[in-house]
Amino acid sequence: MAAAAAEATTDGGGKMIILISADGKRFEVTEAVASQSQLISNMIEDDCTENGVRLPNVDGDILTMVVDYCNMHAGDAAAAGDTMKASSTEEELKKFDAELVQALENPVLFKLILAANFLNIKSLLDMTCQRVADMMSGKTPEQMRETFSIENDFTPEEEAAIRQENAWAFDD
Amino acid sequence: MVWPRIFTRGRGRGRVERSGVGDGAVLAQPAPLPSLLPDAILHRILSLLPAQEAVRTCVLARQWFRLESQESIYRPSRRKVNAGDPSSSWASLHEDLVSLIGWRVAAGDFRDYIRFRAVCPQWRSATTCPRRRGILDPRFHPHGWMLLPEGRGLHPGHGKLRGHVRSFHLSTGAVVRVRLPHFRDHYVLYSADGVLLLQRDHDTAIRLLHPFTGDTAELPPLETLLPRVRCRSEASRWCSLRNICGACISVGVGDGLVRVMMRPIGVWNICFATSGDQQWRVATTWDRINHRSSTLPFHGKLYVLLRPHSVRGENEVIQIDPPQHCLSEPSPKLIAKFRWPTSDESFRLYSHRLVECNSEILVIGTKWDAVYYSVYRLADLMLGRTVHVTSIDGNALFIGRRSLCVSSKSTRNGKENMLTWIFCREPIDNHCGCPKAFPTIVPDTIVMPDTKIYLSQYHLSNGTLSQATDGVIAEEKDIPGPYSIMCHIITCCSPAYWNKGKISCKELPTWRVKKKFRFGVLLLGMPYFTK
Repeated sequence: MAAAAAEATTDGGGKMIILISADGKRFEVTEAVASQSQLISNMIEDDCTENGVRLPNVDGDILTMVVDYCNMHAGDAAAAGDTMKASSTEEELKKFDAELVQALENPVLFKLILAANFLNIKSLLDMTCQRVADMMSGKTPEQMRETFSIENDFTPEEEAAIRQENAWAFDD
Repeated sequence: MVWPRIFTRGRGRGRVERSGVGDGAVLAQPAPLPSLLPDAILHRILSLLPAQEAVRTCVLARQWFRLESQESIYRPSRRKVNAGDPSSSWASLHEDLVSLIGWRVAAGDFRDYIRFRAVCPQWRSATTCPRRRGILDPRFHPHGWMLLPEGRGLHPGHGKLRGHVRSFHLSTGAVVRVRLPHFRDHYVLYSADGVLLLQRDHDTAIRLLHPFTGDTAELPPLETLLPRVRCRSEASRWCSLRNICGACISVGVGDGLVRVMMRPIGVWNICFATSGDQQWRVATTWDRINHRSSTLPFHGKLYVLLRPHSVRGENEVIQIDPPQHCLSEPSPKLIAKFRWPTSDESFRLYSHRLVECNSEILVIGTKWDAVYYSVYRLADLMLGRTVHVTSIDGNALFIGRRSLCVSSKSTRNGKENMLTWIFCREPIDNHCGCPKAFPTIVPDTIVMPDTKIYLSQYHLSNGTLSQATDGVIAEEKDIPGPYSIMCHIITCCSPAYWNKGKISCKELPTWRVKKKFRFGVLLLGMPYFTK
């Protein structure tokens, strides 16, 4: 607890939290930003963020994206009382999310899903999973495999049975 | 204390299938765990794991060490998993994440979900098999899919179709062919969220059929509603009972039974039944519904637009929730009131209808003979605002007895235009060649049968009316075909033609077969398109 008191604080009074990525990059974010991650939020509750939060399975570049996302969306929760402000930033947020999602490609998308899941940021997890779902739309299983570099390890018999069961869906 | 959301795992290969309702089903409730290890130590342990393993372990967060003692952290794969570069390990994505993605794929298009499950064994075992759950789990309802009216009277079950029917998707334009032997002794009354509402011939029992999984649900015979129909002659009672203006399917949270609410045009209220019931019941709470009320099923609820009694009166939209348990009734709730923005005494000539578009409800208002349409969002009307909608995101609304929203855009992966695709496919019946016409649906329009032989389209952006491209419909009797896609779609808006495999025309749609069981959807002499 003593260490917590010694931590840097911003002018706004919010406590700063240091996130450390797998490759040792450090990110300083406010508590409001960091607590969008349920994992970190719980850690804040438990007071175990004194020496920075080590995130051993999130790379620096992925964490940069996550922190950007959280910074963007932190205003969201903070401005909930102020409806005017909320509505004006809503457009921006949508635009930001749309741009972020559009830019996502393999393998960044994959890592971002894992990071969102690990950090337990529901909105980011939803958004990234939706992106994957959108990438599936209208594709045949072969095209899906190609998109996601998946090896077809069904045996020919299994594959035939699957196709037989739902012949209508594979009939191109 | 709040624990991070953690994923629970089934027991080995024979794990429990997830069959819960809603997104929350994927993620189990966090289990209270004693916090024996400080997080710092846990992180230390995690950081000592090789990267690849840490990536996989991370999804289990704090719970991982407990799980490790019980079973392997990884789902035991019966085959080699792409090791090495994590970018190529989509197949080894944690099954809960695969499942999460799977539900989102299913929410887009049921066919994509079936294909998604055929990608690799890992994805297949991580997602729920839709068989036997096709009706019980609303997430598997094939919304957007509509039975394609073949034309030339080739109704589902017609001998020439050899037990097959075709369905098409209203947004992607995909066409599929399915074998459905049920149509030997059933005919279709309505399609709710892609699930077909059938009537069995000999006993008038209503059955739900999922066209792609073949799942069915049994409901009471339609005959039990016959005394409630407001018609004198028995023939017209039957036909107005077989004319369904709206039906919705929901599944009880507690009992898991299928509930159907529907509105036959002849019963001026909501009829409802639960699977396994002996008879249909009629709601008693709302008696203002009549044959001119527009009904729309949306997300398992029915929305009904009631017309005002007088010029000063207001239109009202009620939302009807399905009955909560076996003994209760559907509960109606007034959600919006609005006045047609005119003081014209001829208000009775105005009509409104509800249509679903882009996951929201729109209200289309028009005068009987008018060339003017106005479209509002129900969400705006609920807030007391009347804002004209001039763009519906490139969709086109087809209006008739039921109204449909059709995407005018090309398929999402930007391949073929939906219209091209639908026509390039080999018809079931090889006697019909590929049509030469490739008409286009114009975005942001309302399409309706207007003049005798043409479909009209109303452009929302500038309020003009024009003749629809290649929207020629037959005047007197069903033309021999081929038909433009617009004719197929506008026919889906007229269930009486749609279920007989006829393309909309002025000839009365009567059954040529099994008249005894299916007779008379249109003996009332009602106009074949209400406007």
